[in-house]
Amino acid sequence: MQSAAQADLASFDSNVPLLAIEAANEIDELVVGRNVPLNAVRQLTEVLQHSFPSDSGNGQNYFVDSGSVAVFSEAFNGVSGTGAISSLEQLRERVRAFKAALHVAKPASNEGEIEQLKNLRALCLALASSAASFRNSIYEAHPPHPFEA
Amino acid sequence: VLLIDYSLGRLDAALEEINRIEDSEFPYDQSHEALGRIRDLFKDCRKRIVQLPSDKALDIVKAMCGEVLTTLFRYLPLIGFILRSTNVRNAFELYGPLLRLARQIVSPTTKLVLSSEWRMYSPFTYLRIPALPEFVLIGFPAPESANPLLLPLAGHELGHTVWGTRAFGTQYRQQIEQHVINGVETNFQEYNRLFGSDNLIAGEAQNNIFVRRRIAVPAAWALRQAEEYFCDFLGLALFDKAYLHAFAYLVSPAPAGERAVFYPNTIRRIDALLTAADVFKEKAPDAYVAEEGFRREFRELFQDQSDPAPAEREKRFFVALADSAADSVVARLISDAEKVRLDSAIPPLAVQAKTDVLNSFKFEVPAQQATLSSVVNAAWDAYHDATFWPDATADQKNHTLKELALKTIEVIEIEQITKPSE
Repeated sequence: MQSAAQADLASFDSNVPLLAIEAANEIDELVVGRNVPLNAVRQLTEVLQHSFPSDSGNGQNYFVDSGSVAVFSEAFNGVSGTGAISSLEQLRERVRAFKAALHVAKPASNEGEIEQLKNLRALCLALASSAASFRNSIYEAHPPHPFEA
Repeated sequence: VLLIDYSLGRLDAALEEINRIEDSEFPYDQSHEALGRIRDLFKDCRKRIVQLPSDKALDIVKAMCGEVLTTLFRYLPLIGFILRSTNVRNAFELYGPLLRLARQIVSPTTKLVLSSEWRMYSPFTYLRIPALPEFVLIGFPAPESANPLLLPLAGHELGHTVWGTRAFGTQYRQQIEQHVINGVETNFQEYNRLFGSDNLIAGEAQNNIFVRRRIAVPAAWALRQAEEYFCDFLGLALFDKAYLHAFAYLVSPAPAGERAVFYPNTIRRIDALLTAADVFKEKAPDAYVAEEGFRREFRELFQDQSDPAPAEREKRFFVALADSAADSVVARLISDAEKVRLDSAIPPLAVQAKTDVLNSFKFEVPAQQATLSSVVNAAWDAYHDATFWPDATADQKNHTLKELALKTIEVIEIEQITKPSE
């Protein structure tokens, strides 16, 4: 099985949906002012880094697989207030911002921070949902057993 | 609160069932260990739910309980699989030699669960299970689970594990995806007819986010097709012609109905296998013999399954792209499968070894100093030879052949166990 550092968003070899839910849960703790270790948040950041390596800042144009593009843009498009992603450049920009927000996540101390954390939490949940949907969409094309309902 | 109660109730029921199964008699430890791992996973799920603070936001509770339910859905069939691994219908004689083979080609710490399946009439594996990373799970269709002539198909199932542990998916993904993108460019007009709203401009498929989102699933189909090709090639590399015979026995002509798009259609698989035999033969001239008459007869056994209906234009378009992308990496896949065999120091089939087994079988005596490949190839040769045991009825011949092959495989295991350590 792949570790989080090797996995990408569309990976079948690691449980990205569970990881994203756990990250949402950790951020939810920050929303209510509880300080908790952010292990899942850190691992999710690693998954994003592996999925979108061109963001490493050395200017090289790395390969980004379409599964990760589909999962990430589906998640963002499903969260109200973020606006639909209509280009790969826009996608990379959103990934950068999302990763940066995960990186600095800490217990909220004012209303503005609470709102930011809530948005972050919603995005993590949306990522969990779109990663799970993508996994299912590969296999749903298989004809079911004729007696199976 | 109800969501949590229901989740815990389901987990407790599953844990109770595992406890009951753990009381069964397990023929080998690894099956028992796999069950223990699933029990630990469920306990971990339980802990995660119990630890949720009472003021936890409902959307998080729902997501967590939903994921735990998904885990139950995913692992329940595995529990049944492990339970059936204890059934005496399985050929336990195959376990030791297969475990040894798995450890040679996957890793020295590989663990194996051998079982039987009721869901389909083909061998089966569960792929890359997060809770059982070093386990290989191989299931034979229940009515054939004691048929040693089908052993070569385990080579295919082992291939899935090799594909995961050697990260071939990661290695092939970019090439396959680029081929799909090139296919979109080549069929630019058709694409625009089907998906005009994507505003695709010629030469811009790579950078068009709508194209990239749309091809994600067909690219994943193509990658799965490539994995299936690889597993076929590894099965052939390990078991030579016996793999082709076992494949034909179980798959030919092909089940009726629409194909699964993450498998290459049947005739493409057959042609790719015959190509692989030619390539393997270059390094092992005495093995992988697939003469013209055999090739023709073998190919004639099969037929393709239906493609998606013409009305499903979008799916047909993407299936064609996926097929083409998978076919584009066949030569590389053949080479990688051969490399796995060579890296694992598994020799190709030796003609003399097969002849020795056949000679023993003629006297209805289990062979000695045999290899798995020589046993199954000799057994298939005898199966197809109408003059072998001419006085036996077909039923007698079939029964005796399977018994002899199983006994010989048992002898291989005894020889290994009693071999002086080097």
